[in-house]
Amino acid sequence: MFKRILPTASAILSGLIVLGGLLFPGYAPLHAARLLVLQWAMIIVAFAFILGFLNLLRVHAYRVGRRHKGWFTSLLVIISAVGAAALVFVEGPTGPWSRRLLDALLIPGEGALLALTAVTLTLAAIRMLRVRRGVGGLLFAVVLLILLLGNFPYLPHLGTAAAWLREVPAMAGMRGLVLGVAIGIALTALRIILGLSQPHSD
Amino acid sequence: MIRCPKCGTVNPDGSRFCSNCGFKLPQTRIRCPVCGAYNPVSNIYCEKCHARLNPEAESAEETGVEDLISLPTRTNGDVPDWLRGLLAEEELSPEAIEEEPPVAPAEGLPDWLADLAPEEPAAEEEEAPAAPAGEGVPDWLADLAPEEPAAEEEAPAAPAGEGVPDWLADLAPEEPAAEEEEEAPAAPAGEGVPDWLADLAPEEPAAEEEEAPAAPVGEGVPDWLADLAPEEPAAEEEAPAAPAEEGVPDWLADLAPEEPAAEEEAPAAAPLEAAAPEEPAVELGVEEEEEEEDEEDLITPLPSTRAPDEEIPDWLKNLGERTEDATATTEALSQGAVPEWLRRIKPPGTGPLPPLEDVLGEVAEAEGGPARAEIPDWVRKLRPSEEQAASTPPPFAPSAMVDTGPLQGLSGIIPPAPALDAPPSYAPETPPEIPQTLREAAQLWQTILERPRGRRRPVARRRRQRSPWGDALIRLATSLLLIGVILAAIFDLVPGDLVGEARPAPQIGIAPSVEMIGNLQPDDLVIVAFEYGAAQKEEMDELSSALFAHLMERQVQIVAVSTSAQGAGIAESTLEQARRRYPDFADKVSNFGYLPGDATSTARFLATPQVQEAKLLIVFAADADHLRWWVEQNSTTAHPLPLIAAINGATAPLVRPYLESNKVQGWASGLIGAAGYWQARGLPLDEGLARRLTALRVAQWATAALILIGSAYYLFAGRKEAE
Repeated sequence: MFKRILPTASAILSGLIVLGGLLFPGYAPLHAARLLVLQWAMIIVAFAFILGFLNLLRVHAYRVGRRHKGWFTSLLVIISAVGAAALVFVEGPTGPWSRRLLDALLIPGEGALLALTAVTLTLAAIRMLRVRRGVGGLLFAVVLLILLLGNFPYLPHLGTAAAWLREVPAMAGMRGLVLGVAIGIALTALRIILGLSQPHSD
Repeated sequence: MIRCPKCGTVNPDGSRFCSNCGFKLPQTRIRCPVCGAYNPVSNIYCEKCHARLNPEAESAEETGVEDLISLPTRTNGDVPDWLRGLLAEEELSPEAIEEEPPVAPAEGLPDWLADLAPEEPAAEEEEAPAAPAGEGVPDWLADLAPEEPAAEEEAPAAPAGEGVPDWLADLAPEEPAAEEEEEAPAAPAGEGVPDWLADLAPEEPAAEEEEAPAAPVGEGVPDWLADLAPEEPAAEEEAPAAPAEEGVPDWLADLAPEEPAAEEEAPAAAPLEAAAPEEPAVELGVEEEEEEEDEEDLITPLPSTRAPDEEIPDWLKNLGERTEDATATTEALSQGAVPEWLRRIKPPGTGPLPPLEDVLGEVAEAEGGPARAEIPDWVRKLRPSEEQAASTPPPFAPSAMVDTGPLQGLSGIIPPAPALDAPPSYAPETPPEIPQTLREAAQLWQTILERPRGRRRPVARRRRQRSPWGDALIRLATSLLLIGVILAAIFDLVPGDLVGEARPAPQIGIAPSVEMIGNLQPDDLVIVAFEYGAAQKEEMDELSSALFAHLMERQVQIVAVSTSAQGAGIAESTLEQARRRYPDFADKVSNFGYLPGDATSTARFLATPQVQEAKLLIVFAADADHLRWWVEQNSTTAHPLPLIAAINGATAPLVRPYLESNKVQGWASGLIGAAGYWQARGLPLDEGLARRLTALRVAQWATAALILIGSAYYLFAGRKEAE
């Protein structure tokens, strides 16, 4: 009852309310009910974040307590999480120390890691033909070179080819992906509304 | 279960009185093989002499019992077909069913047979009990045997064994308990008749007290048989029973145990006791009083019946060769009492049977029996064919005496017969079809195994170990080259002729973006969503700087929001920079903060009335999902807002279709998009942005050169190494 039927009934009812509010936007009660359900969802998600934060502390505290492998890293995670949370609790999310923590630590660190991926991708592209000598590998290398050299001023034709690659083949592929994602989302939503899928009960 | 001898009610084991009529029920006891005392069935040792009542378990090898072969369990339903068909009519007569007394169980029966045997009614005190008949007889035969009425107040004049072979005494119908020390009744006629014939006989009425009733010849025989039988006077006191053993056919003689039973006070039954002196005998329905330990087993005296020897068939004549009494009994039985159809019927093993139709036809003609056409088909189907009767061995062949095992000393035990458990029609299962792939694999293995050992076989070559320094060197050189080129471009060390003019490629969505922002009026509300993290901040800051400069110039109200935790902080940093750059309009920017719930929070935020009054929605996104949420939820509102997507270069190809489908009206992506926005507004590029563009361009060329060189090397020169 409380594990299967009630969650499924709640999911179906919520889905129907939100869907009805979208289909009949002029009907004020249904629109208000939709907004209410969305507001509840935001509160529940926020509470889920709190639970996730506490669970993160519990898992890493267990690793530290049992001296599992990487326990020191877990200890750093606990210290960082608790310190950041305490800092935000004290001065709010837009406080000076909170923004300094973001600007001086997170942004340079993550930016450096992203820059490393550029070097890694370059090395992977260089070695690609060492491990993959098929037509696909060769085609990938050629397309990559055209796009990289498209802005080279001494090779104007490569710029035209690069523009065509971006506008036609890449666009066709991405439209197919977007359509597939949209169909998948619609199908998943329909299954949940009809009660065929119950991800909330797993 | 104990069957009440009075009313026939089945009572649970251990009951002393019938649950229906209150009659005292007989009890089951184990008689000690040493002292003869009766013990409860749960005893292992005798209560009187402490002798072991049941032998110890023996291994399967010692007992000779084969594994996976079960003992045959025969019930009444296992009567041979040829006999069942003939007995059907007689057994089903209402009189026979109503008057059928409980069948006496057999002493010394194996357990599996004893369990199937019904209980014997209790005898009175000091009463000479009726000897259990059918000792050593299979249960299905014992069940078929009719029971004799009780002889009252007379001790059996003729012990069972006297004049009667032991095996027939076992087969003989049992009488209920007689009154103490009374005269034995005269032996009824029909004694010496094989059991399968005796089963046809109806039950005799009980004898009166102090009177030896003369059993008529026809008792125990169907009426139509009784009419044919001559009248036989009742036997006088102690009339010797006719030894029926000599009138037994060979197939029945095989059933007989070798050693006759005997008792102390019953000389004729003594061999029965001597047959298994060390074997405890499970006696069913012996006595209910334990103090009657000196009680003796008395074989029911078989009523003597003499029949003339005339018209006896050959196989019945052979029965009379053992003793004179048996001959007399056989003669009495065969004197006009045996119809012609009975003479022709022989049990299995004595020779091929005549066709049943012929026999029944003759019977119908001679005695007015059932006409030939009246025989139902199912009876005909039960009749065995001649070939089957001639070729099929008897379904059981009782052993003379069991030498080992728990049944040691008992005779007439049906040995395990595997054929009995075999299904009537057995067809071996066809092997499953082997897939073709398995056949080919098996043939390949066979070919490989049969290959001569001298031939060279393919062996996987070991890959040459590559030096770890080689990869590290390539990685280091590539990194240093890229970093050097970027630094050179940033510090303006690259010749301008080589790089060319910093002119970004035109983007189709930039001009609409500039137009939409340019059309904003002062104090118009603009929603700006920051949906990127710290890693993309350097790239996205160029876009936000270009657009925010335009927005601040338009003096619009800006509300920042984010559905990611980092985005909320980044939004605050961006707004702080805008406030510093444009201090006069600092009060027109605000940060709504974090919206938990991804698409749900986006929908909720866009559905609020204040947001619906906004004039423009700008989304700075570094991943496709966040932009998709805003695009989809904005399109579902009652009044969708004009939307400008400012995205990083890596995400642009993924969300480009939204621009093509006009879900996104404005567009700017990456550093090139930021530069294009400045140029679209007719403003010169920021110096920092120009250097970044130069560095980006040089880095792209360097990367292309490295990939080209590496690909060419591994495509041609490095082929050998790669292999």
